Amino acid sequence: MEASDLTTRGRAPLQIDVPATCECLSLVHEATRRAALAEGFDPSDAEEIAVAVGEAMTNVVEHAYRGKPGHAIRLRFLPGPDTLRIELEHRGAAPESLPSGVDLGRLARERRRGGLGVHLMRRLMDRVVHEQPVAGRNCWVLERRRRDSRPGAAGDTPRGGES
Amino acid sequence: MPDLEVATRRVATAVVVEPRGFINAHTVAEFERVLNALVEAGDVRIVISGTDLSYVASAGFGAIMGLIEEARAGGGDIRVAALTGTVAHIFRVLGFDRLCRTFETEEEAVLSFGG
Repeated sequence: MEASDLTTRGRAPLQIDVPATCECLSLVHEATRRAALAEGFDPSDAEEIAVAVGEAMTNVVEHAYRGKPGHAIRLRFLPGPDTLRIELEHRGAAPESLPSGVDLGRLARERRRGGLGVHLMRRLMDRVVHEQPVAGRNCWVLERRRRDSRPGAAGDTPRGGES
Repeated sequence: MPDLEVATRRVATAVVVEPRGFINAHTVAEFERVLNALVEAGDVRIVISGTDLSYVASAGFGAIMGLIEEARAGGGDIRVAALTGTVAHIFRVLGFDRLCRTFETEEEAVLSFGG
């Protein structure tokens, strides 16, 4: 599969249904990375977008579906002139609330191994929200602006999309 | 080739952990298994080398976070070395540079534990 196969500019949005299992994370990572490359993101930005999408997928598998098999996630890649929007639609539970930040020192003292995923999504993407488009369906929405459309483009600009 | 292989080797007073591949919620179990075994055996001077890592998701950083205080309580630490590219960027944006000492090279990290 070539990156150009995944380009969505000027076509119907790319949509992929995947089983909601962690075994599929690497497949989704690679598909996302290639889609971002095809949309003109540079390799490091494409890798970051792929990691963020993996975090959203992990959240759905582990929290929305609580690790139970037999469920699916629908990914949509929606390129716009300034942003790449990626949606992960699922029929699992919506998060009760999204953490506003993390205290790594406290998590470490408590020997916690989780609690970083949403924080990482926000740090890597320009916008991260969880929506309920219709009853019974939930959706993570992640957006990343193109480098030349970000305020103060170029450089290691910190992100931190709202929830 | 597996998605993740984790090798270990003893260098001076430290144990260097070399994950090769990527660490996500699926592959993290192997990474955790190796780190847990070291800490339980009292090998708490640990250097994680990032040379052969293509990416690390939050699960991988969570594995370090969950064990670093255990290693420190045993008189050691978990330190990281040779992070590059996206792995280094994610390490910084998560704030792990404030939790965990980092070094440019594996040698510097090993030496930081002393003789």
